[in-house]
Amino acid sequence: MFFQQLVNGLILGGAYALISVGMTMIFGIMNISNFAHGTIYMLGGYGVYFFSMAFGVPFFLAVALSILAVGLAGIAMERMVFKPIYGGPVLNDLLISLGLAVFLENGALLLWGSTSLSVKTPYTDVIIRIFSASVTLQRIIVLGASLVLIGALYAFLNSTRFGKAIVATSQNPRGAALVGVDLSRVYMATMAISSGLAAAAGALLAPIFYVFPTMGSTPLLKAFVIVVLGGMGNVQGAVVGGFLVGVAESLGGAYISSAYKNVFAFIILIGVLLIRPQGLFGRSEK
Amino acid sequence: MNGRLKKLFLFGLIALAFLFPSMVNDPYYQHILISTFLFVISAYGFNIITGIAGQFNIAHAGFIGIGSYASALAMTRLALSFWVALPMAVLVTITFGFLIGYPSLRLRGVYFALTTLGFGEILFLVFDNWIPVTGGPMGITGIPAPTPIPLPGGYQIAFESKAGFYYLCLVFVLLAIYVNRQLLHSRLGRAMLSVRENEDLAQSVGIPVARTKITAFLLATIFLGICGSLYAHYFRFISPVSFTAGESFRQATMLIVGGKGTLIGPILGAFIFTALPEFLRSVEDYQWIAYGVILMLCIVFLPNGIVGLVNERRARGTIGRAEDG
Repeated sequence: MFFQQLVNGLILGGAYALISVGMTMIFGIMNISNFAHGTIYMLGGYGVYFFSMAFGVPFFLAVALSILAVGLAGIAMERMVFKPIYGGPVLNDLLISLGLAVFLENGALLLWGSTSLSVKTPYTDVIIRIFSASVTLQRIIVLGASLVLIGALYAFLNSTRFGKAIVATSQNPRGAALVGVDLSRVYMATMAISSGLAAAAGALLAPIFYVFPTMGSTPLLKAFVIVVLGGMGNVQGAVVGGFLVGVAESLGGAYISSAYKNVFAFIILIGVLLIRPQGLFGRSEK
Repeated sequence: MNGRLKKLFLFGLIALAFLFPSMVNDPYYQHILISTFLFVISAYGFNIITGIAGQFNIAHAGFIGIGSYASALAMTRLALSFWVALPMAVLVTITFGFLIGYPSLRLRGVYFALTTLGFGEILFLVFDNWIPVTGGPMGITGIPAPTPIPLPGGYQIAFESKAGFYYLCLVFVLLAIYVNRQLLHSRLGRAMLSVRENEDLAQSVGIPVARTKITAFLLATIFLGICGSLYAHYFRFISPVSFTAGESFRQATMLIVGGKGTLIGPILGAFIFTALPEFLRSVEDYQWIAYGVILMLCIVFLPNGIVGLVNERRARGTIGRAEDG
């Protein structure tokens, strides 16, 4: 049972890491806490549903198309919603992203209804045994795809010119602008990557859970806890934090209580704020 | 408007508020006004922590829920008088305010918003699942009206009627406005405003940032406790769905549209938003989308709400006149 829960936790952690990496990037680079991140995850779920179920596109291609579509939508959101408030007080970005979240969630409700839609893939029925644990192939795909996407992000940030420009902006926006980095393009790219990763998580998990308008609210909360745990703006921290919270939740749910799963995440949050507010990998402000 | 005229206008308005139930006997309009008053009290609480001190409390509705449940349980389970239940509800709400505010408000930036987001969810879980105490999704029914106040000579002030409850709410509305007014004119209030605008700068001029924020939150929770208690004893029924993050969001929109951090904004927003759903009823499906869009547009184009717009116009007018003369 322990091993089974550990495996489940790691799979969940992969998806959490995907969601949180995008959120922490938005924070690190644009200094915005994006409350609409959960609804962007939800859009990824609907994306894969429409591409694979309505148009009959194979699952992996549907995921890729969903990532692309939501990434483009992310650029539109950045230009229309976030751009006007850069440099303003913290309160403004909280409120405006919350407004965006309510708009998207209720837009989805209006367009597609409140019914839970299920995405079928050939991989949900294949069961694979790893030592004493058994998992469906779909779950293995979630973990594998998460690792591949995070790896790709790493490679992009560390070895391409534009990726390095993004990293430079997160370290010092003024300095980056001074050496010729186009901040406007960096912000658009960051939002596109962040949205694409959240959409990937939503799309990959869609066959395991269901797709419905409010599916993003719990992942949003988890992502915030993970981002704080890993240190706000810290990409490595978000990856490690994602796996930690995934495993903690899986074990806690199995051995303590599953009804109050969300409470564990909250206890972690309060604990981090009290003991180590800069997060596991963050540097202290002072 | 000069100072004396303003004062006269204000007294006229208060007198009108006091005379309202005897002028309008229709219980429907009295009900509308009482509901609005509950929003007004809540909005002034929201204004202190979010409008003036700039810390977004996403568990706003959840804290009102704490006050509601505490007060309702005190009267239904412990058979206490309303005049004990009300201060008890306020005390319970402040206690939770401290437990949540202390770890999260010591830090800069968004931690308070994140913590209250999580806490709001947990409150809903508790209201919804702790069936022996909260009644779960069915809520608590049969909450009594506030206990009558006996007067000498066998008379009493009763709150069973709409008119009686109206006056009870009016007293707290005036208290909320008074506290907000005093705050905005005080050193503490100005410290809160400067924390809202820039925490680093506030710290640099010697403002104890963390203490200022925590004070603002505790002050706000007093009004949320009062609002929750009045809500429970007016509607005589409470259930978890009234205290969700969605409700917090709706009331935040209300405050932003009216004008956050101002004295008139909260009451203006509360009146607009109790009138609005009546108009929006025909397009109910789009109501929430409308709230989302209104909030986003307001943050960009009207960051200080309608009150801010009016003030700006007036300031511009004054400058114009000065140049003419």
